[in-house]
Amino acid sequence: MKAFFKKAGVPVLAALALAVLITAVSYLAGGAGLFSSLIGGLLSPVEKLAGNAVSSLERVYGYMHNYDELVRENAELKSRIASMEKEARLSADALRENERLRKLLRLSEKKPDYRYVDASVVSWDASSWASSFVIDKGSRAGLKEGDCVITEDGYVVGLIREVGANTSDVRTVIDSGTAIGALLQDASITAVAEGDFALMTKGCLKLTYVFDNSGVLIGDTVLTSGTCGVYPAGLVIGKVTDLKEDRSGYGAYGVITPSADLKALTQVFIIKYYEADNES
Amino acid sequence: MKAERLASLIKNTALLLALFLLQTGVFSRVRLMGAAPLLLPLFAVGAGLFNGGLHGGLWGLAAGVLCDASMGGTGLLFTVLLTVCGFFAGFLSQFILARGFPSFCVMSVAVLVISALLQLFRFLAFYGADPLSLLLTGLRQTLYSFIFILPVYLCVRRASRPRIKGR
Repeated sequence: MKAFFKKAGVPVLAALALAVLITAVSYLAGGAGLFSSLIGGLLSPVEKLAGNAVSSLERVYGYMHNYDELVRENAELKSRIASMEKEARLSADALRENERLRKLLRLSEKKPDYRYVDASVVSWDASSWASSFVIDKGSRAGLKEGDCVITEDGYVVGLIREVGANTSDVRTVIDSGTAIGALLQDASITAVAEGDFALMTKGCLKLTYVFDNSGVLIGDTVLTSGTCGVYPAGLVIGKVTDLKEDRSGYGAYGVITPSADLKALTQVFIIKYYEADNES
Repeated sequence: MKAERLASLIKNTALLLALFLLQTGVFSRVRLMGAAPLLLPLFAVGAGLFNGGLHGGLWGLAAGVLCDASMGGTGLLFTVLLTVCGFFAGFLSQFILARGFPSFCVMSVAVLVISALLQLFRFLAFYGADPLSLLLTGLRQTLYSFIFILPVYLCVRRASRPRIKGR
């Protein structure tokens, strides 16, 4: 003991004095801040490194330990997402159909004698020479050749050209074979709305046989006159968007842009019966 | 040999159905100035060119039936036309024409022009439509179809020729 203090007495005393001095200075400088911050500053990178290493190890362990569970959970979540997406799609479809049926209901209130069958558009004619499409209802649904096809807003789409058991071919209003007895809503002028090859490519049809050309104005609404006995009277065909001279230069014709958006058709309604149609 | 034939039959059938679906489902909506392209006549020519007259005629018949089914009012126009074209392309490739892209291109253009003229004639003769509008529609249809000549050629060639090992 004596020998120890002889040998290390001075350094031990110096160390104790230094410790007392640091403690005193720290205390006088505002608590343990200086010393702690010095130690903390030196140790924090090491602590951080150690913490990250532990976290990584934990993650790896957790990943390995819970892998099967995660795979199961992932599959379950994917399945739930697919199911929810399907539901969302169906609900969006149902909403759109609901909207169309609401509009049709409003039309039914105006035209209570009409009896409809709804149908979906299956495919469009692949020919450059015609404008027609196939619907998913045929003679089994009571459809027949010559039935009028409209949208939920009551805009004329076309006419059933051929009927199969479960499908029908619909010729649209812009097809070159179309001819409809027409009436200008504002001026009460009778005319014929007919398909034209040149206009078909632009999605329009022709207003011809206008007995008083001066009465036709751009923006006039063209309705079915009901005179041909195929289309019920008062359905909207479209609006006059241009007036042109025919090739001979003696006559003029109007260009009708159909009110029905033919490119966006997904669901149509076929008028199976209306009052003038006593045979149906 | 039988396996190769069966593989070729399956590949050609798949290609025919794919082209039919493209023609009816996609390009009937994606029109170029109102015109839709004709893909099945190109297949009939290719099938004839690579498989010979008899098989060309049969593939042409199948393509023609599908083509008429996808279009309203054509009657049996394409059934007859594509059968003849398939047979004719095969016959010529067996004796006169080389089985390459230039021959395919020339024959395809010929078939497309004939198809357009026959379709046009119907409207001109029976409906009295404006000849200029009809010609423009025919021209648009032919030009639009022309875009697909090279892709259809590559597909038909791949479907009809047995794959050489090591390539």
